[in-house]
Amino acid sequence: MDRAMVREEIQHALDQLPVDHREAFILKYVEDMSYEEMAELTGAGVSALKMRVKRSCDRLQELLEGVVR
Amino acid sequence: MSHEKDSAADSDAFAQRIASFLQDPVQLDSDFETRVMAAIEKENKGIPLERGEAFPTRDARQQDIRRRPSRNWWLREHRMTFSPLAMTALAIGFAAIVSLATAVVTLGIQGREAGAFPPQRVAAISSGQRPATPGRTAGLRSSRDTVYIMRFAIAAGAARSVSVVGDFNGWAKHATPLSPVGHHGVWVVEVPLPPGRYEYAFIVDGKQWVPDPLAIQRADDFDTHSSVVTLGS
Repeated sequence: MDRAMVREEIQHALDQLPVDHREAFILKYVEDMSYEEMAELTGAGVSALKMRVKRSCDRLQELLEGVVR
Repeated sequence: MSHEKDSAADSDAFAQRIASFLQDPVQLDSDFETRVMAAIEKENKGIPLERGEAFPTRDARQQDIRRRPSRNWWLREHRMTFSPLAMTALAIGFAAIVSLATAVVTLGIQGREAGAFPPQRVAAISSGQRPATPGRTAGLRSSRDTVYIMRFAIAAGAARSVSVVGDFNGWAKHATPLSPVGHHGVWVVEVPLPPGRYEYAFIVDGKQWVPDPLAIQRADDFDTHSSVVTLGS
């Protein structure tokens, strides 16, 4: 599976997350923001954002098992 | 604890790997720019952009920034949905609060107008020290709900007992006894009475009929003298 196909699978998995979870994951890992910056941007609390990121990671690991190692 | 740390580290590493795929530069096809410009012109109401013209203009960008939703939760638009049952409950609750507030205000105004909050002590008249005259008391504002505290007092230093009788207690000899106050032979009792005209007298030692010497007196058909006091107008 080449990178483009993996990327497509990842995009598909991200689409299955709730919007606020997907937003938190992308801001944290793709945009490389700190939780404080994310809180300022989204208006959500830091602890809530941490929880969203944690749940996003758990869900993505389930969805992308065997795709991303 | 160590297991949790390992798990968190694994999760973080996994997320980093996913992010690395998402951070790959996207290869655009050759006509991407043409399609984007066509979409922008369509958004700009069909007016084609001049070559080199900045789009959107600075004013348009500023207007766009002003239209953006605020980060402040209170200033952003929110969409809320309610079930019909919840809406009905809210409406009933609101109506109940409004009705209750209206009732409280109305009752408060009526109560104040009707004198529902009578003062504890409207009039204090000492018949033994100050004469109770109609002129004195007639000026006091009163209503049906007003209660006067009538203080009966008499100087009877040698007495063993004193009571007051009148039409307010059915002329009962033992109904309203006076108590000695201080060391000067003054006997006092306070009786709550509604407004009206009252006749009364003192009974000293259970047998001696004594009209109030400082109050208005009247004589009955048998020439027995009683005192008269009028409370209220």
